[in-house]
Amino acid sequence: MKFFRWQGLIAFVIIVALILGLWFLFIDTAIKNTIETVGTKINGAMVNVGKADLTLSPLGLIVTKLEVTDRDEPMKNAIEVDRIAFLMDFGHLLHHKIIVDEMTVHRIKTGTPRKKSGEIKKRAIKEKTEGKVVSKSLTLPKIDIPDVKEILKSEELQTLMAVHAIKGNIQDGKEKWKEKEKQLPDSNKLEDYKKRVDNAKRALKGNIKDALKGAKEVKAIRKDLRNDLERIESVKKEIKEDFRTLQASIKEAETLPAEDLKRLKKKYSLSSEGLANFSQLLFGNKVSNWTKTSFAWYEKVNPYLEKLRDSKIKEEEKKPERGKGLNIAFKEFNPMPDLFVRTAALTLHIPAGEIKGEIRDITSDQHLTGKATTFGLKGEKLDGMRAVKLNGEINRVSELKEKDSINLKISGYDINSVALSDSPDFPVTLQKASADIYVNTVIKNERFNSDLKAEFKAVKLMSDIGKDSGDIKKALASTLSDVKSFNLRADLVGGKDDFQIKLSSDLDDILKKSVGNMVKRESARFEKELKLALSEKVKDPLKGLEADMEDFDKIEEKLNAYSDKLDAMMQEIKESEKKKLKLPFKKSLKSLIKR
Amino acid sequence: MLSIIAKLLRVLNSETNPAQISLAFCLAMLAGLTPFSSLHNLMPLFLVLILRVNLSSFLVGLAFFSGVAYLLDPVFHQIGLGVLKAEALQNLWTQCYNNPFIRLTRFNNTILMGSLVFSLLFFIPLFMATNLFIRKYRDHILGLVQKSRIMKALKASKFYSIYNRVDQIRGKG
Repeated sequence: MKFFRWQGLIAFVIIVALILGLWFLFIDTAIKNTIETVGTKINGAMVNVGKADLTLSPLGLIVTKLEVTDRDEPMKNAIEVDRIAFLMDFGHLLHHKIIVDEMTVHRIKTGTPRKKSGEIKKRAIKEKTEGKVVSKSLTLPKIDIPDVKEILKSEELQTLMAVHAIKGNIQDGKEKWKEKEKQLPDSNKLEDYKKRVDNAKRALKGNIKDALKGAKEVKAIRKDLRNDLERIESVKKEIKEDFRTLQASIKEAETLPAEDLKRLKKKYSLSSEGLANFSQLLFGNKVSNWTKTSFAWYEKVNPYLEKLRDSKIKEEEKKPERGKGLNIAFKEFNPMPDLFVRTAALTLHIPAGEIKGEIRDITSDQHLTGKATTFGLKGEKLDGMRAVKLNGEINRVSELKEKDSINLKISGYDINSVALSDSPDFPVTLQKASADIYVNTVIKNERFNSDLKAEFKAVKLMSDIGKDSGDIKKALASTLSDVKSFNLRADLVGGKDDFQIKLSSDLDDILKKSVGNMVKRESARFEKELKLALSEKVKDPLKGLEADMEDFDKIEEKLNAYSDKLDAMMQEIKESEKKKLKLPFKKSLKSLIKR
Repeated sequence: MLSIIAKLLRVLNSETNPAQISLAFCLAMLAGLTPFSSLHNLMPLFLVLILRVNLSSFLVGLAFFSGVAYLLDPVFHQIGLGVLKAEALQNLWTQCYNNPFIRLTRFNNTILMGSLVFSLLFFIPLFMATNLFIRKYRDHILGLVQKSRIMKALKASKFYSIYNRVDQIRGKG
């Protein structure tokens, strides 16, 4: 038997050639599909590639029309890139490593519309609303001081509320007294006592049998009197306690006008401190919105940055996928990252024009290259902007040095008709300005530390106030319209959910200098008028309380009169008992001695 | 598939050397148990084509072992992990890992390594067992099978007509 089948060699060559041929035919589609599948998995929304073209000599890849869906708005692309082209190192590719010396990324656009939704699955609305910072928006306080009478008409005063409550308590106290009074001895009972005492006295004067009966009655009367006296004492004590409590409430109510005055002053008067905070009120919302936008972008980029860290997790620590197993990594003699792009040249298209720049040292394993990813972008003579410069670095070289920093410099940024305050009371619009803005941000452990400095020149501020506005409002509007330049500084510290912004501007000083004295004067006048009107309004109700309390004095007097009468009766019966009870026994003793 | 099984039955029942069937079956095990798209599978393919082994047996065996491979997946992972983590072999694996062509074979994958070791270990025992089985089958079972009621029923089926047609074509050839 022949052992070899030589025609099999030809079949083998044909099969291998066929495999290679098919590979070459379908590799572009396979790469396209791989980018889309892996990209979609990472992005959480569709990633689409128009075309992927692998060239073998030189070994490179051209990806055209890459669209990355915005997860939060699936009908928009977060990023769209017209063309990405790069050459790869073949030797490293055999090691499953993509090492690129130079990459060109042409025409990056953001927020472009999509023809089809890029949503991969319906995400719960809850997820969208969760984690949203619910921040209180800043609004300008009322500039003009309203009429004092109007304020007191519309405001609920704490003093009057307290007076009303105390009045109710006094009424309750009186009701309680009426109930108790029913249980106390009335004039009939006193008359009854009197009769009983007289009868007892008479009985004591009689024979021994009557005297003994009288003594028994005296004992009963004393017991009844004691009980009634005790009841009266208890009621007196209760009434006194109620009286004390009501007195304390009245005393407290008397301090409330001062509290009301303080609260109303704070609410209605424009203090000079308020002016010192004017920039916060004007720019606070804008800066807060910019911050939220920055956080939203950081949220979009952060999962990819997190993956840089995750890639360090050893394969062995992962749970193997069924049918796929784990790829065990061994020590490399010349360790290289799985992905390393030395330089990526970018052209970014924003509505204002084109920005060019480069990103250096893009890698999934910075600890291997020892270099942080740096980026620098620059655009000049843009539409509505003289120049823009953005640079920074993403540092994941070591866990201790983990830090991201971004510096943005915008020169000659034209601002047109930006509403700074949409408060109907005092609307402010920045009609025109040219701004130089510098932002320096450092992000460490997802905590931001950002510093914004902005210089506004050729400023035209406008406040469209009504003709019947007050003096302060007019003065403020006039000062704002005279402002030709001002600066703004914002310091931001914190994370996505708990950031704090501190704003300052020389605009505050300008306003303070200009209308500060007027505000002080007007505020003093307002305070004086308010104090007077307030005390006038609460005077009578407070006096009424005192009058109501006089009834309690009458109750006490009545109780005292009761107890005095009962005491007198008790005294009377004690004395007659002493006198009359002793006599028959004295006589009997004397007669016994004589015998 | 039916025609392939028919061919296999014909081969089993023919005078073909049992070693040709057994070797094809063993090479099918090598290719079937390990991940099919792996580079090393070019070797069993090359051997199947260049050596005078039975192709039908190879194809049937390939289908059979591919199914078995999925069931044994966790076992292969454990074997592969053990082999790749073996202290004594670390130098060898490190050298291989740094060789771009060996790295292309994905030898560092636990399932690939586990299934490869498993199939290499069972290659010769399976070869000998299959050989023995074919001989015993032809000596003792073939006659009984031909006379059995099941075989008679089978002969009346579509499957048997295919088998017969293949046999006739083969005979003419």
